[in-house]
Amino acid sequence: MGEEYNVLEYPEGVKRAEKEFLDFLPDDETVRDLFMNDILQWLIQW
Amino acid sequence: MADMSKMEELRKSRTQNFKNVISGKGPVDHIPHFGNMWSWKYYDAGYKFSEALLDYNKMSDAIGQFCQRYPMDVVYETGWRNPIQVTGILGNGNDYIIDDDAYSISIRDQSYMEDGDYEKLIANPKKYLWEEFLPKKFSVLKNQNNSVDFRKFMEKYLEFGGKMGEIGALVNSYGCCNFADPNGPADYWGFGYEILFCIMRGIRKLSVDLRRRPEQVAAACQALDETFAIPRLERGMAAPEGSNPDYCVDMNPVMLAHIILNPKQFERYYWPQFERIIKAAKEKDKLVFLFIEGESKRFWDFFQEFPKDRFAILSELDDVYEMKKALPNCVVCGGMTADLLGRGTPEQCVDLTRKLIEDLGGSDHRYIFSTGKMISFPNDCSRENLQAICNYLGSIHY
Repeated sequence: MGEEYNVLEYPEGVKRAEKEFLDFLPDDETVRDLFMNDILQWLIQW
Repeated sequence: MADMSKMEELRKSRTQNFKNVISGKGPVDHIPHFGNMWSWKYYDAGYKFSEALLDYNKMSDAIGQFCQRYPMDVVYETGWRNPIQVTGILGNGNDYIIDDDAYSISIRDQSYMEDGDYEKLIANPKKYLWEEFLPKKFSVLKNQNNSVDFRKFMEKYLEFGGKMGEIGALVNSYGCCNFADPNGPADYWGFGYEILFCIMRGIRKLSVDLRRRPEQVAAACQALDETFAIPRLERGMAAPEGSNPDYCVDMNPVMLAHIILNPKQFERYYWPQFERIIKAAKEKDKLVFLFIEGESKRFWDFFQEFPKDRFAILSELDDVYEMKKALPNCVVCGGMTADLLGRGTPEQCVDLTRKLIEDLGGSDHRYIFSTGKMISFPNDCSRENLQAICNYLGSIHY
């Protein structure tokens, strides 16, 4: 798993989180960016 | 449980019927029943509210019992409303207060965005939201090695998504419809002004902001819209034209934050989102179900701009007859009262249902039955009354 990090650091931490957590999505930066943006929205709204 | 293929056929025909009521394009074979049913479902199933929210199996059982007991076209809330198992893992659980006796859940006015944060939000919204706003809202994310906790969140978030999918399939197995396309061109309340009101500044502080710093509010709305609402619209506009056949509607905007606005402010802060929704509805041939908490009469001049045969409106507190008269371009939903549903007799409930259908449906039956109020508390509804209504609605075919 490697060392822990700050997921919220933008953009570096967010990008690293995309690589770690969104491996079930296609390896397409646009798709993963959109999904991460949806997670950001969810975290804000709920 | 009935034959799965029959239930699938029922789901599809109910979905198309719902669309036909709004669009007027095809025959209406029955009056759709929009189930505006919230925490009362868990009470009816015999669970405490907190039990159901904290155990997906109990939540699923309660919703399955509901679908079996009360056949209807749409069960609107299927466990998504209070994802406290997910938010709780990040330290936001204490903001909720669950009252098991009243079957209510409330949350204190959330205001994590400080006065001085406007400039940072406007300058670089994603940087501000990730780096500053989220750790203010979720205490466990304040630590620098928060990937440990974020991992736990992702497990819960994906578990929640999976469970919602399972419950959705359960609801479908009773012939109930999928309601709104989650990938539609507009989110429920995912645009700048609603986000500021509901979560970032809160009711009290935003009310003051509207007077003291209106330009910053407008700029903050724009920054949030460029982050969330506009990319979603662009995605939706790139999708195939036509209403998604798997869902009753393509967009389901929810109005919560309009309650503190006058018409001039509504035009400035709220209407731009409706302009996006209208654009998508007209250019991509989409259908919209507008769900309004509170009342909205002072904005009906704006609603008269909604394109004809594309919008249905459910308002919690507006008079459904007045709405029908003022907004002939829209289909109205609602009219049954919690007072009668909870305290009346089955005969009275069926009589009112009949009257609503006759008065509001007209010769082309373009009306959607529902309650205005979100049915939540034990006294909001009786099992006997709801069953009588469901039986009556199920007996009418055109």
